[in-house]
Amino acid sequence: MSSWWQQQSVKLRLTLWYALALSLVLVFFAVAVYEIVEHRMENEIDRQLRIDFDLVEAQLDLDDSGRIRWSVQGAHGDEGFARLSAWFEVWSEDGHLLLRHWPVPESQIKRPLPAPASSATLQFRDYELEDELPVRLMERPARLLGHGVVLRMFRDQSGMRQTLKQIVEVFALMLPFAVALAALGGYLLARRSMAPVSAMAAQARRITSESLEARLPNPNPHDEIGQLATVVNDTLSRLENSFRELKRFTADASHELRTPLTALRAVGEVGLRRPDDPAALREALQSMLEEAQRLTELTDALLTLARTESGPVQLNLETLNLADVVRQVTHTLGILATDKEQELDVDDTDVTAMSDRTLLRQALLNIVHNAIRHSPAKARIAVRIRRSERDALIEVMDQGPGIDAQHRAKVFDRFFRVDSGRSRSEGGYGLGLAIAKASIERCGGKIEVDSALGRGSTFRIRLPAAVS
Amino acid sequence: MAQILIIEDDPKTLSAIREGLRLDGHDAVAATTGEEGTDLCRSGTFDAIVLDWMLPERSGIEVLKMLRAQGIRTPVLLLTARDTVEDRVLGLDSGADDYLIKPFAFAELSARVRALVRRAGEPDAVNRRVGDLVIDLTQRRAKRGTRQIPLTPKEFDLLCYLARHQGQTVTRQMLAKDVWHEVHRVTPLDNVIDVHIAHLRRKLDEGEQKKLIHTVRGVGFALREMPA
Repeated sequence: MSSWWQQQSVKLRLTLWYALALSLVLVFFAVAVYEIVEHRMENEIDRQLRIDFDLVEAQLDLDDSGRIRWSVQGAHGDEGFARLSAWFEVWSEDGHLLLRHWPVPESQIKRPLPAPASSATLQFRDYELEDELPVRLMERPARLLGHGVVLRMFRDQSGMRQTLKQIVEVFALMLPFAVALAALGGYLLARRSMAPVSAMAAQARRITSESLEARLPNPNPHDEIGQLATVVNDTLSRLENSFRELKRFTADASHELRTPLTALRAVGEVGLRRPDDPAALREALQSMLEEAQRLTELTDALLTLARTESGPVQLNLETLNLADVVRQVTHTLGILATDKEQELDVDDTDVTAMSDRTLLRQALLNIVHNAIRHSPAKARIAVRIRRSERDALIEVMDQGPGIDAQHRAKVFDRFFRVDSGRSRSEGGYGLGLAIAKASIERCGGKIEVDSALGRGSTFRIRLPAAVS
Repeated sequence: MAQILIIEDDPKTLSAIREGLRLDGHDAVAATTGEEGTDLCRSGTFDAIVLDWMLPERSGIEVLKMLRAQGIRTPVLLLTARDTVEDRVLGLDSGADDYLIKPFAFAELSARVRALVRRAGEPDAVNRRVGDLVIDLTQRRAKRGTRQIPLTPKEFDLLCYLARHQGQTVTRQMLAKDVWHEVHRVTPLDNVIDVHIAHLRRKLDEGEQKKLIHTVRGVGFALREMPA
C-alpha cells in the first residue's frame, strides 16, 4: 500500500486525500440528517398515537350484551375521517381480542400480531404487518367501565419510511457526484499548483554542464515552490561560476604547461640535429632537465592548490601562537631579505588563533616570499600580528610597486601576474597567492589586500581567534 | 656494488633507472610485473628493491605485503605518484623502507638506494674530506687547507649534507627535505636554497684554484674535487 501510494504523483495523492476527506464529511452529514429526521418523525407519530389513544379510550363503551363497542362521536364533527383513520385493537387483560378496528382488510395481513403481554405497560413498537406496510404501535392498559383492558393503537409508518428512503436516495445519488466533482476540482487545483514543479523538472532536465546559464522558471518567488526555484537557481549560478572558473583554469593551466613543453621539444629536436657535438648535446640535455624541473614544480603547485581547495588535505586545527609560526617563516625566508639588504621587521606579539599549522605556514611562506620578491633592495618589510575584536590578524606590509585597483581583485587568481610580460623564472607561476588564499580559507580564515600604486601592499590574514 | 631489483612497468622509466643504477656501479635486475618480481626475489638475494606502486594486476603494495609475509626483509624503496600523507603512511605501514614521489630526479633515487644499501652499518665518520676541505663534525667547523671557513649553522648543515653525498648530485628537493626538513614540495624554498648555496660557494671557493661546489644544470648541486 505504502509503496503504491508513494509511486503516485503528488497531484493524485492530494486529490485522493481531498476526496476521501470530503466523502467522510458527507457520509457523516447524511447519517446525521437521516437520524434527526427519523427521530423527529417518530416523535410525531408517537404524539399522534397518544392523541388517538385518548380519543378512542373516550369513545369506547359497552353495548347491551356487555360487549365493547366503539361509538364514534366525531370530536370535530368529522366522523367519517375518524372512522377511516382510527386503527386500534382492544384486548382483555387475559389476552382475548375484544374489539378490532382496522382500515385494511385483515386478510391482507401476512404477519398477524400476537396478543399483547398481560403485564403490558405503555410501550411503542415498530412492526411490519406485511411487506409494504410498516406500522408503529402503542400498547397501553386502560380501564373501561371497571374492566381492565389493553388498548393497542396503530399508525401507518409507510409515509415516514418513504421520506427517509428518499433522503437516503438523494444522498446516495448526490454523494458520489459531489465527491467526483470535488475531486475533479481538487485535481485541477493541484495540477495548477504543481505545474511550476513540472515545468521546473522539465527545465532542470535540459540543463547540462554545457547550458548552465539556463535558469528555472519562477512565476511566483514568494510561495514555497518559488522559494525552491530561487534556491535551485542560486545553486545553478554558483555551479555556473565554478564551471566557468574551472574552464578558465584548465585553459590557463594548459597554456602554462605548453610553454615548458614547447621548450622541451624544441631543445630536444635541435639537440638531435647536432649529434657529433658532445658539448651541444650536453647543453641540450641540461636545458631539457631544467624545463622538466619547471614542469614538475608547476604540476606540484597545481596539485597542492587543488588539494588545499577541496582535496584530501586533512585539517588539523589547533591553537597556534601566531608569533611562533611567523618567526619560523621569517627565519626560513630571512636570508632572501638579507640578500637584498631588506629589513624584515617582525613584531612578536603573542596572539593565538585557531588554525592548521601546515596550511598557515604554507600561506605565510608564499605571502612573505611575495613581499620580499616585489620589494626593492633595502626596503623594509613589516610583519605585524594583532588581535581585533573577533579575529587574529597577521599583516605583511611590503614596499613594492603596489597594485592598482584594477588588478587588486585578481591578485589571488591562479596564474595572475601583475606584469604579464615578466618572465616565469623571475615572476613565478602566479600560483603562490592563490595557494595562500586557498590555505587560509581552508582554515576558516580570510585573506585580503590593501594596496595603492607606488605605496606598497598590505596583505592581511584574518583567522578566527582562539577561545581562551 | 650492490644487487638491486627494479620492479616497474613503464619501460622508459625502467630502462632509465636500470642504466642509472648500473652507472652508479650497482648490479641492476629488472622486472615488469609483481609476479616476475616476487619470483626473482625468491630465487636471488638482493640488497635493495625499487618497487613501483602502480603495477598492472598486482599492485606494488600487494607485492610488498607478500614479500614481507614471506619473511623477505630486503629494503624496499617505493615509487609512486601518490603523495598524500595517507598514502605515505599506507606505503610505510605495508613494509616500505623509503618512499619517493614521482616525478623525481634520478640523483635522488640514486641517493636513496645508496642509503638503503648502506643502512646496515658504516657509522658516519667524525671528519669528512673533500680535496683539501676538512669538515669536523664534532666541532662543527670547516677548513680549506689552513683557512678556517666561518659558517652559519644552516650553511654547515648544508655543507655536511653535500659532503655526505660527495661526488654525487643532490637536488633542491633533497635539500629541502633533508636539510630544511620541509615535507611539502611546494614552497618558495628553492630560492632560499639557491641563496644559501651561493653564500656557501662564496665562502668555500672564492679565490681558490679548485672549485668544490658545482651546479649540475637542471638537476642540482654536487660537492666534488673535479668537474664531472
